[in-house]
Amino acid sequence: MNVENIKRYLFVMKELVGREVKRKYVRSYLGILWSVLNPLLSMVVMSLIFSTIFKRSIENFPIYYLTGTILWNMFTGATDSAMTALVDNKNLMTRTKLPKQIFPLSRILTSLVNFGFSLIAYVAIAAFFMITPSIHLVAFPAIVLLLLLFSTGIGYLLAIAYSFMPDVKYLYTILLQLWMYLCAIFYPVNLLSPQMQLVIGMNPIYIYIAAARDCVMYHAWPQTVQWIKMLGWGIGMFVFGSLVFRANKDKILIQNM
Amino acid sequence: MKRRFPAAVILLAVIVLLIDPPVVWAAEANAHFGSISYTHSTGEVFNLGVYMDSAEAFTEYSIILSYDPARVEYVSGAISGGEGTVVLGGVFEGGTDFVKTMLQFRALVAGDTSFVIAEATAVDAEGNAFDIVSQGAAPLSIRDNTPVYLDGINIGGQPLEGFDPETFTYELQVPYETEALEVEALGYEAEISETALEVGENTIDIRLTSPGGTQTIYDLHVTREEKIAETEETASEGLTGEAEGLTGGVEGAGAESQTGEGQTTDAAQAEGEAQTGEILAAETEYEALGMRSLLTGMLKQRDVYITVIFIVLAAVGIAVFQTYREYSEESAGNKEEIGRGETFGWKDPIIAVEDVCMDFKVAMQSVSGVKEWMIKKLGGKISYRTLHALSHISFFVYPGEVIGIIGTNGSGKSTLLKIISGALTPTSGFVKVDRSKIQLLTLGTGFDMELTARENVYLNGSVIGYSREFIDEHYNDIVEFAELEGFMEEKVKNFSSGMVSRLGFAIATAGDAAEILILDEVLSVGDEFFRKKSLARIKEMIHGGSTVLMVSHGMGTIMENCNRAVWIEKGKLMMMGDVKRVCEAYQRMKG
Repeated sequence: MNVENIKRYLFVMKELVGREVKRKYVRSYLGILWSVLNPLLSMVVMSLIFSTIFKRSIENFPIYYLTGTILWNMFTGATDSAMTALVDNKNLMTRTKLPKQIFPLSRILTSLVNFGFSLIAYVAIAAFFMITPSIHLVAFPAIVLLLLLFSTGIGYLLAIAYSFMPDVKYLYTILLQLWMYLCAIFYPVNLLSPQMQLVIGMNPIYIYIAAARDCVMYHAWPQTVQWIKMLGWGIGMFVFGSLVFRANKDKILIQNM
Repeated sequence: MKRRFPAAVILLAVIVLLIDPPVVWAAEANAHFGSISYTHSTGEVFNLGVYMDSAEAFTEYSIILSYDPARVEYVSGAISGGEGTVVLGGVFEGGTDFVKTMLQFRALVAGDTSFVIAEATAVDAEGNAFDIVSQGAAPLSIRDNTPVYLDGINIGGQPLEGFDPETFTYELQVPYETEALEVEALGYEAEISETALEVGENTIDIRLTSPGGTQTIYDLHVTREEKIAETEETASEGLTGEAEGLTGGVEGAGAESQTGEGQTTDAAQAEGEAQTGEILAAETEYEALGMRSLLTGMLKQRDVYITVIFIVLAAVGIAVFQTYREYSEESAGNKEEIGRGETFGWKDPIIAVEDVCMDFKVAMQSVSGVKEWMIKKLGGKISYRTLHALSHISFFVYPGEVIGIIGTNGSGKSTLLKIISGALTPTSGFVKVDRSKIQLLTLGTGFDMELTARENVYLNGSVIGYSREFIDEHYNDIVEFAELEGFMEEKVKNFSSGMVSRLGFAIATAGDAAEILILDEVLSVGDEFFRKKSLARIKEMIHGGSTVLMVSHGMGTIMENCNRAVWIEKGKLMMMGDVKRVCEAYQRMKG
């Protein structure tokens, strides 16, 4: 019966993810192709502006930027949409017996699907710049998975917070802006002062991005410290988020009848 | 007039911004050297390029250059020179924008000095002087390239036979027993390379560096004899081979140094060559060592990976297990409640609603922002009005019954159904029911207007609780029942409300009826014909033996189908019993 249930929930999630993906570009001509084009175009813009400035410190600026930006977009896409998942699906939640985790989770998986599409652009650009694949690429999916766990934790927290306090949405937008600049997506970290580097080193998203760059661009395994940090943040945030979600999921319904 | 004032200011500002005032620049000329800095060796005669260039043509120029006569001697190239200054200059009738003069100097004494442009002028045909941008100075460092030599080499405490300071290569042969040579350089500080010996040929470098940076290298080619009557060669062969490669590189460097020695001009080049040799040697060594360390490195990394993957798997496993346990606990709990063995009348009730209360907190003030909320929360000013949606409701439903729930709008009917189906948790009291047997029929839950009808069948079906296979199987029945053949690839937003309801009803009733059916306003759908058809479908389901709970506003539907009715008014249970009696009472109250 439980295996049956889990199978059923997976099917529901698949359908919900399908809905989100289909909906995203529903009124556009190119449709899902935008998921591929978007990172490409932003890469072109950023490369035009920054690649000459950081010529000395960043080799292959487009790849450097793209690695950062697709991971960052996955994170923001996941958390931003998971935040509103409960409120958006209020109807479904009160009329069905589905576990509430399904709604934020399906939003997070949607962003993983989008990430998959931008990966197409990423691979194409990597091939164009002759980035040779190496055994270190094996680490890449693990890094993405851990970042996804981290995003899930944050998404759970935000979903709960948002259903109590809609202002969280605007607050989070601002926070994301600040956070983005602390991720060293388009600039080299070693240009900053040591104090600032320390701050950025503590930023979990940056750790994931740096590790991904290591294994894609520099053919190196992420260091053990990096692994520990990534595991810690990913699993820690996931567990924390899940606990908070579990403790509060029934209160939400009372709040938002 | 007053109104126009700001407009005028803006206009003025725009004009000021747009106009690029013509600035008169004096023509500029640039006096500079060919390089930013120079490095030469003592005794060397070298060229110094002095340039004057400009965007505009000039007809006359002069440059006065100063140098340090103690270190550098002027040789040729200028109009006049000596005693620390050199004067350059010229007149060009037609005008020119570029002049290059090559001066020759000889480097005398090692050390650092510089050439300085002390004065530079340029004049155009009209006699206007140019602004001169001058490089100022170009540093020159002069190196002593006199090589240094050893007085002697001691091997194992004994002077090397046939040593001559200007002979750089020596051949030696040692017995197998000598595993390392004891080499000592006499007369000058020297760098001695690895002295452990492999079987076969080895090279030991003795490297001297003069204060001016010139290197002298003595090579000792040492042949260590093979172990007599032993067949272990194969093991060491590869390594010896590599060592040979290494020797080759260094030998080349040594040879270059020898030829360069004494000929003053080539010293720098020789040094460069020596360095190349060094890098080459280093690379060979790296490759030899590299393969081995790479293997061990990969092993270690693999361990890290296994650990990482293990931890990730473990985390996922724990998460899955937690979820699993949660649900199994839920269902176990339900079963326990059911199986307490209480007996009600002639049968066990299939649903027992016991003293259920549901309160909603409604904030008295609408708090619209975090700031307001914080202020009010801290000040204790948020007060809630408690809305009693349901209070103390108790009733039993026995297997096979069809129960109608009636009441005016907002009386709590839907809340009650949600509590029974498990979507809501009551504030107090509880409902005993096996929730896995419940099927909640609602119309179009989770319909997405932007998707096509086909896509919505799958989406809605999955949400209701059908499996993929089930939907595949019943898809045609659903389309047929909803009378939507030919519309399935249309977006639902283009449907009429009747079409949407029909589709919803068809999906909701596609499956075999569960043991407990909860119908929330599903029967007043579509036109007259469809209503009859849907009623027939519901009756079919009911006669399959399901227990049914239904909410409907149509008294007729309730009277026709139900055998008992529950009347709820403002959250309180007003009446429960035979459907006719309850409906009559309800209608009487409504007037």
